[in-house]
Amino acid sequence: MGLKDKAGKMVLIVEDDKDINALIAYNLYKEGFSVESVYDGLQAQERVLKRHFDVVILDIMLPGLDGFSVCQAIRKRKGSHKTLVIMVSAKAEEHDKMYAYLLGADCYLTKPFSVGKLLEVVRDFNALRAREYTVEVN
Amino acid sequence: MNKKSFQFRLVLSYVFIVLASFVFIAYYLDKSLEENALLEIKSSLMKEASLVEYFLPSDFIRRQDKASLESRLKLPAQKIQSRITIVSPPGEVLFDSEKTPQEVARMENHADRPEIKTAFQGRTGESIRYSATLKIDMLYLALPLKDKGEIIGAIRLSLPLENVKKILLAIRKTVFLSLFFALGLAFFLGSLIARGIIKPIHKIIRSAGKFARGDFSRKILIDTEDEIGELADALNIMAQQIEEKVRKIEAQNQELLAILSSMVEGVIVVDKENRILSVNPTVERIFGISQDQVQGKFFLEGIPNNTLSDVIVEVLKKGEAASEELTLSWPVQKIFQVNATPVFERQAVCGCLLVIHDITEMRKLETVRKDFVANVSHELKTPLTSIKGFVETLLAGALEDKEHGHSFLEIIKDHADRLENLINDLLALAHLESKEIALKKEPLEIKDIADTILKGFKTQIHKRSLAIQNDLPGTLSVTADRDKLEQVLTNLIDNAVKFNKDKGSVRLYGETAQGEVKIVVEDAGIGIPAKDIPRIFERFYRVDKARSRQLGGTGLGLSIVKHCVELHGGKVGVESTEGLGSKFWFTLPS
Repeated sequence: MGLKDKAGKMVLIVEDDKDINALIAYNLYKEGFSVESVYDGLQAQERVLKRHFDVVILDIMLPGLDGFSVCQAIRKRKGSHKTLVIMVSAKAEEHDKMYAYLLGADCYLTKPFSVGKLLEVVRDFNALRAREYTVEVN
Repeated sequence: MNKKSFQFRLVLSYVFIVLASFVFIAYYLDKSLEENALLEIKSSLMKEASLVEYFLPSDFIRRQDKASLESRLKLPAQKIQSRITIVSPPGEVLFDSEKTPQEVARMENHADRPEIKTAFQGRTGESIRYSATLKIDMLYLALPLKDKGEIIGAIRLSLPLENVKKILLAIRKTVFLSLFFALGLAFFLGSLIARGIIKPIHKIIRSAGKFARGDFSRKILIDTEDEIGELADALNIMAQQIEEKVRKIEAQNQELLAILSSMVEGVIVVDKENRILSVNPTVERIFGISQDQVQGKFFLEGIPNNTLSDVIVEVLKKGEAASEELTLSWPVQKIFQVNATPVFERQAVCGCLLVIHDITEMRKLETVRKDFVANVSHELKTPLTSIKGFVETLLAGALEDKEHGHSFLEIIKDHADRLENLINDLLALAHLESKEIALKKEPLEIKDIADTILKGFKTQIHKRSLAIQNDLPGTLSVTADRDKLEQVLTNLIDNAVKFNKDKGSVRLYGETAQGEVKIVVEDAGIGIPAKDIPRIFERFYRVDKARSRQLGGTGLGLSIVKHCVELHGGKVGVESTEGLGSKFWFTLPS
């Protein structure tokens, strides 16, 4: 999978911890994504309502508005089924995960998560999307 | 006297016995008296007849010489008062003492008179009969007049029975009189005796009535050896036992009442009809009702709460214990655990006991604990995520990234430090919260300690050009654990420095008042918003999360301060105005 598959693909990183946000941003940037970082829930909501993102990395405990609400906001948007929502949280309880999936999250990673795992998920998703695209063209 | 009363019946029975015996006696007395009187008359008549016979020459009769008979018998007849009649065998009257000779000649034949018939047969005849001649009851006695073995006539003597009747009447009068007298006496004495018997019984009745009303203060005082005495003794023993039992039950009731009213839990008892039997003061408080107001009412009438009512109905129906959680939102949000148990009487459900336990505080503590665990986990995981992620990133090739590699290592170091601080604070807090903590109290000169601590902040103070003033009096001394006091001052000074403005100021001062030393750390920094002030000493509570983290705060500093001060028996507090600065103070015993 080369860089060009991801060219122009937008990622929104919603994480209030600046260092973790930077960490994810660095790795996804290296992966070839266009990266946008926001640090609180309200800002994230504003962004996802405004435009389509291919991938959203979403923390749950956020200032302003929590990650669950942001996820809901994403899924409200038309065509959002093409958006990969990865929730990243220190909350490790089963009911939190269930809730996240219920609200439309595609993946739930518990902190401390592995960067490698995160990248794997993103890559797999892209591969899936690419295939879908091929099918559509044919 | 009541007709049904025992006394009346007793008296009546005396009177009856006297009456019965009198009637019996009177009857036999009367009879025998009458017989005796008759017998006496008869024998005197016999004697008189024999006498007359003796003086009567038999040839007068043989000859039927009426004139001679008349002259001979006239006088004796007058003397003996009896009527004498002489009859010849064919029945012709030869002489009658009460008739003149002319009348005698006209008298009817007497042969058919029973006594005469008997006399002519040679025996003594007698008869009581109404005399047509004299028009009264008469006793007739006839003897045969014999001459040389031959019956030549009969002599008959008769006497009116009027006298006998008179005598009998007199006797009967006396008997009746004495009967009345005896009855009166029987009534009077009977009443007296009955009263004597009844009196202690009345006494017992009165006392038993008192016992029944629950008054056991007086015993029955009857000191006799008879059955009534025994009854009184038995009643006294019974009363004593009842009194003891009543006292015991009352004591138990009091105890139960005391337990119920002092219980923190609410208790409601309902009967099988779902009517409220009792509620305790806690229930009165919870639902704003009173026992008098709801007692005897249907549950929903007294306490209009469907959750409770449903539980009770279920318990009464199934006879099995049930529990439910009840949330009341008025006047304040409260959560209760409701346990309902059926009450059995002879294997049948006869009611329901409801125990209502306020678990609001427990829930709150649970929430606090849960929040704390969640917070700790979050606070630990966040730096760990950064460390792990950046190490991974570096290993994946970022080491070669000249532009970012180094800064990643810096970040890792920062987070490792943060983790260290957090762990230290958590351990300190855990230590402070454990009960076994032993304070090594000693008199400490607070100014020197503050100076030493301030030296440690030299770099930061210098960096931000802060003006530091240690105005603590040199004489100010406290009795405290050195480590804990250092920790308190360090944390407060650290906050004052961290949350300050460039070229701001920090001032320490203190005073002694009422055996306490009050130490104040005042800064002219950014201050605290009024809404955050009440929660500022809570664990992990931060006014500005991002800023706190940036400054390396753990969110536990003030919580540790509070614990340390409170361990010494002191107090902590804060006054602050947003944008103008904060004034943290604490007190310690001098």
